[in-house]
Order: sequence, then C-alpha cells, then structure tokens
Amino acid sequence: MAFNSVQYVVFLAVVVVAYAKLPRRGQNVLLLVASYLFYAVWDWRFLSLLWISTATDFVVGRRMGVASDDRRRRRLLIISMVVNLGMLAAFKYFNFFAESADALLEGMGVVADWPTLNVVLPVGISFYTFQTMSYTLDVYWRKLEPTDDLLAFAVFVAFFPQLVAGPIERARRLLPQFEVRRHLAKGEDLWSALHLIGLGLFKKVVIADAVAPHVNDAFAGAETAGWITLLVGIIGFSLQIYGDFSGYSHIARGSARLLGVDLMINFNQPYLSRNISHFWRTWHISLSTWLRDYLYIPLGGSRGSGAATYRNLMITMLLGGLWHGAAWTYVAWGALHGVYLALHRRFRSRSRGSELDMPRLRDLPMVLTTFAGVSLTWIFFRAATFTEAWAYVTGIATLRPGPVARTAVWIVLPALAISLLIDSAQRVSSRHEVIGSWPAVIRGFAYAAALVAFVVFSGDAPVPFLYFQF
Amino acid sequence: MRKVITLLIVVSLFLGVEWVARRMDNLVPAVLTWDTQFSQDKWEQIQGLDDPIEVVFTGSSVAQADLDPVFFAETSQQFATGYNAAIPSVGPRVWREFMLDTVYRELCPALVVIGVDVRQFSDNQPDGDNSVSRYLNARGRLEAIDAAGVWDTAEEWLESKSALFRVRPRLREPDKMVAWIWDIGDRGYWRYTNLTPLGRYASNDARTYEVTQEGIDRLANTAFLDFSIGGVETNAIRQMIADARQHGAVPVLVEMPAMNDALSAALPNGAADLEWFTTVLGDLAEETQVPFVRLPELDNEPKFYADFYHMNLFGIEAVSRLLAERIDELQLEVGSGSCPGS
Repeated sequence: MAFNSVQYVVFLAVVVVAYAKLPRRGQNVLLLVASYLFYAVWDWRFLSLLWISTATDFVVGRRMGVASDDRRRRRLLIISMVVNLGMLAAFKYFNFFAESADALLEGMGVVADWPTLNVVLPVGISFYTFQTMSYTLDVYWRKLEPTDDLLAFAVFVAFFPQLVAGPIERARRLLPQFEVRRHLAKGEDLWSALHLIGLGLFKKVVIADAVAPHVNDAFAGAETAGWITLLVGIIGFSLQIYGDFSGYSHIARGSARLLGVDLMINFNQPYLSRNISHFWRTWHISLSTWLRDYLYIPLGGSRGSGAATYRNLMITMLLGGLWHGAAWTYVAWGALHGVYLALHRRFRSRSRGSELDMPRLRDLPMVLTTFAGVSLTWIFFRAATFTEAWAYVTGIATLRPGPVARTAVWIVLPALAISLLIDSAQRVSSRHEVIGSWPAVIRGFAYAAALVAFVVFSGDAPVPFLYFQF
Repeated sequence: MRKVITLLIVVSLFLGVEWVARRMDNLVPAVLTWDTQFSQDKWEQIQGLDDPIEVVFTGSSVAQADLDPVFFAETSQQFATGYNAAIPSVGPRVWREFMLDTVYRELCPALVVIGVDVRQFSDNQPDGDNSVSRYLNARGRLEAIDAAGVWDTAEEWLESKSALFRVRPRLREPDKMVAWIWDIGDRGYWRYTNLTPLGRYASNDARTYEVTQEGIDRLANTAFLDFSIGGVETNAIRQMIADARQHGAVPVLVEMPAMNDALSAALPNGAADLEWFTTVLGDLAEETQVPFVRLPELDNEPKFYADFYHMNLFGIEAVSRLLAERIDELQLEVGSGSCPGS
C-alpha cells in the first residue's frame, strides 16, 4: 500500500478514526494490527521476518538487562546481530556475494558456480533491521533501559508510517512515545500534519514523478544521447530521488503526527549545502546518524590518527553504499562520497556557520560545486551497470553532440526551481510545513498553484517510491 | 477571515485555470487514455468500421509502416478490404492482447497477417515487460474492455467535466504545447495511423534511406542489447496463431523485409542472429502448420527504405503488392471469419 494511493488515504482515515477513543494499550493493538496489515498488502509471507526481528531483539534486550556478566551480554548482542544481519545477508546480499565470488574466481581461472537464491527482496528489511539493531546496541552500551512491554516494542519495530522506508528511528526517541497514551493531532498540530502530508505528496507527484520519465529516457540513452540531454537527465535524477524520498519522509511524519507520534526529520534542504559534510548532515539524516553512531564512532571515528580517520570514513561510506543495494554501483557511490568527505576533511577551511544557515550569494559557487559533486555520484547510483555509468559520465565530459530532449528541459528546470524555492522557504523559516505561516493571500496563491500542478502531474498509475527497493 | 480569503483565492485561481484549459481544449490532441496514441486511435477507428474487413495486418511499427491495405487490396485477386492493426514500439505479447481486445471483438477477418521483424522479436527488449503492463493497465483499455475500477470511473467523470483534467497529459509536454497551440512544427503526431481502412499511411513517403552509425549504436545498445529470441515473444506469436484459428481466420506468418546488412551491424552476432531469427520463425511456422512468407527480393534495397526496416512510399507499395501476390499464390482456403455474435 503506497502513500501515494487512494487505498492509503482510506486506510489512514480508518486508523485515525478508530484510534481516537482507545486507551494506550488499545491504541498500540490497533497500530500493530494496522501496521501488519499495511505490510501484508505487499507480501504477507515476509511478516515472519518482521516477527523474527521483533522477537529476537525484545528477548535479547530483556536478557541483556538482567545480565551482569559482560561476556554474556556480548553473546546476546552477537545473537541479535547474527539474526538481523543474517536475514539481510540471505535476502539482500547472498546472490550479490555469490555472483561476485564467481566473477572473481572466474578471473583467476577457477569455475566455482556458486548457487544463487531465487528470492525477492522483502520491502523495508534494511530499515527495520537497522532500527531494531539500534535498540539492542543502545541496550548493550547501557544507553537505554530494555523495555518489558512487548506490544509497545512490536509497534516500535512495525509502526506503519516509517516501516518500509524510514526514517530509521531510535528506540530512545520512539519507544517512549508508545509507552504512553497519545492524543490525535488537533489545532496547529493537525494543520502541521496535513501540511506535511500535502507537501510530501506534492514533492512526490509534481517533482519526482514528473521528472522520472525524462530521467529514464536519459539513462536509456546513456551511450548515445547528447550531453545536454544527459546533464538535464542527471539534474532530473537528483531532483527525483530527493523529491521521492523526502516526500515519503514528509508523508511519514505527517501521518505519524496525526496519530500523536513525532518522527525525526530525515531531510533538511540538502541541496542548499555548502560542502559535502553539510550535505550528509541534511540528507537521509536517520541513516547518516545511524552510520555515525553505530559504525563510524565504534570504529574509532576521528579519535585516532589522520589515516585511521580516513579509513573509518571510507569503511562507513562503502557500507553505507552497500546498505542501499547489493550492487557494485552502490559501492562506487559510497566510495565517491567517502573520497569527497576525506578530501573535505583534509582541505576544509574554517567553517562559516551551521549547515542550517541560508546560503548567501558568496556561497553560491560552493553550493553549486557540492550539488554537481553529489549529482555525479547519483549517476553511479542510478545506472544499472558501470558501463552505463561510464558512458553517461563520458557523454557529459566530452560534450557529446546530440539532439536536446526539449520536453525534459521544460520539465526538469522548472522542477529544479520549485524544489529550490520550497527548500529556501523552509530554510529561511526553519520549518518544513512553511506554507501554513504565510499571509493569507500568498498562501492562497501557493495552494492554488500546488493544486493545479498536482492535477496536471497526477492521473497515471501511482509510481512506487524509489527507496522501497532498498 | 484569513481562511476565507485563502479559500476564495484558491477557488478563483482554480476556476481561472479551468477557463484557460477550456480555451486550449480544442487546440491540443485528445487525451491519451490507452498506452499509446496508436492503440487508442486504432481502437476508435475499429469501433467506427461498418464494412466487413477481410484481411487484418498485425505487427510492430514495421508492419504499421509497410503494409498498406489499399495497395494490398488493389493487387490481391482474393481480398478486397483490409485493416492495419499493427501497434508500433511494442512486441508480440502486446500485439496479441490488442488483437483479442479489438479486432476479434469488432471485426471478423478471414485472414490475419502477422508481420514479424527482428527488432520487436527479441525477448530482452529494454521495455518489454513494462509495455505489456502499460497496455493491460491503461485506463482507456480498462474502460473499453474490462471493468474499470471506482477510481478510473471517478477520473473519467472528472475528465468529462473539467478541461484541466482532460488536457493535463498534454500540459506535461510544454514544448509541444507551443507547437500545437500556434500550429508550428511537426503535427504529424496526430496523423500517423490509417485514418480509414482504405486510407494511406504516408509519414515515410518523402524519406530516402538513411542509416547512421549513431542509429546503429542506438539499436545495438537498446533493442538488441542482450538479444535473445525463442522465448516469451515467440510463444506470443504461437498463441496469436491459435487465436486466429479460434476466431475462424487463417493466420499467415510474414518475415518483414529489412536492410539486413545494416541490421547485422547492430546485432551482437551480426548475420548469424538474423539467420537465427529466420530459423525460429520457420520452425514456428512448421510446428503450427501456418504459411510462412519471406520477401527476400526486397531486402537490402535502399531505394525502398526510410531507415533500417521502415519503408518509404516506394517500399510500402512494393511490399504490400508483393505480399498480396504471394498470398494469392498460396491459394488459401479461407472462411468468413467468426464475427462477434455469430
């Protein structure tokens, strides 16, 4: 059940109505049933993986809580890691590693022919396994008391607004919210929730879905299309992935807010970043902070020598790339970001302000450079193969002649302008649901323009969210 | 008060946009509700055909461009009317669905000519599975053929009431809008189907053969990438043959002529892949006991072609007439087809 479908609107409305008068336990039972139903619409068989992850980390957390022996605590942690990472390995990475090993051995003249599994990727598995692992790791590091409320914990793992594509919440933030009774959003909160949902749908339909066909055309013509078409295509993909994923996150936050639950901000206008470090503090924040807290810092972070810090950065970004998908193109994407971050760390000058400051005119070259650098990495992220990615890069770099995809230009450039306008307004006001605070007349124009754009770009079958495949 | 002002502005602007859309409504092509303009236009044309149609041609853009019912009927001693139901840019799986959805529901052809070309015969077309899904799930098709869902019905109602809803697919092509509204540039977009079964396809008539290295590379990297035949698309043709017989028509399999020397340059294994194509078609014809027509005398004759495989006007006439002669020579025993309701 996709957020951009009529079914979801009906589903959410039914849940909200039923939720209002229930006591805390009743609310959790309703959310759990609704979340499992939401997931089962995709594939009920994979509910079992959700249950395994939930049961494992709940039991491990409880036992860790009463265990005083550090070795026993470590053994329990290993059990959780083996179960969660084992599920990921089996369903997401097994074929990738088997095929890569085959290719490597073949290169050495050995025919191995490892077996491969004929399984589909369970939707959301990368998100909920990371979420449950964060709980167990926090309990292990004694940053969090284990919960004894299985129902609340099961809702924490399966909460439908963020189950299949995040934000990857921390137990410290989200779990306590399920241990008290929630109130439905009213007044300002209600408007804020509806604005977030509306903004998310707008970004998905009017920006991401509108540019998607032109991006597909550009990548389909990676070998032959002219450089302007390719350039417009990659700008389009930068917008598509941002509009798609941040749109999803807005709808997730808005849906949760309706139910009285506060989810973390996942995107903070990343394309206004003045350097790559700022970009990673504003892009997919729930994943980047997860990687920082549970991988980069445990590896040693920046506490060791310069070389150790660069090594930790590269490992973190390579694994971050692999988290997105079982393909070497994602690893290359992570590697490029690792190199960028290492270079930034090596050559950074004294930072001017925070990543959340509105860039000034003098920052424009840095903003454009960061956007161009990030867009370059998206080529590897979006391309099906290295050959395609390389053809795409060389097509732009060599200014390959060719006809210009005019419709793409007419769609992608206005979409870029609209996206920057929204981000700038949010950055200036420090609010995501910015439109609600505008004067009535301007708000009226904005609503009308958004409504017309929504009508124009909707109507085809709903396009699945990109991050469902991760 | 602020909310009232906001609401008034929203309603006023929306009505203003609706007014503009109504002014534009007649200046832009009708809304596409099927998967392609061809399938939509042909569905509408087939609905309007009153006279019996004896021969129906099916296939991809090659059959669509090359097989002219007028030249065919003028030459044939056996058949006087024909309709070209070929659908460009899709493979046999979609041709089959379109034939079942439209031709066999509305027409009762005695002869079904399946014109196959190597480009759309590959099982690994980059857009192969998507094109089938797009066709089957197109709202226009669902409304016309299957039962449309509640949402589709609601959308149709909105489009019947609001010009903005009607023209919105066109608003997603702003550059073309300019050409449509001010009548500049190529409006051939509206005209590429046979307007009547006796009308003439003419978009390629002025073109002479031109193949560039860029065209070869494009073909090699799209349609012929991972070239493989003998799977799902072959099976779709096998089913099309059975469908034709089930509806009382005689099927004929035709290997469409092409500039094979140029095509070989784009195929991964060159001429060997073309031989493979011919062998698979021949084997299928033998297996299903269906006449298999080849027109090798038209292969590699640049004067007949607009590109690799689409004919120019000379080629259209040549292939349509030659095919009619070859089919006459087969002396097929055809019935009257199985008309809907009969």
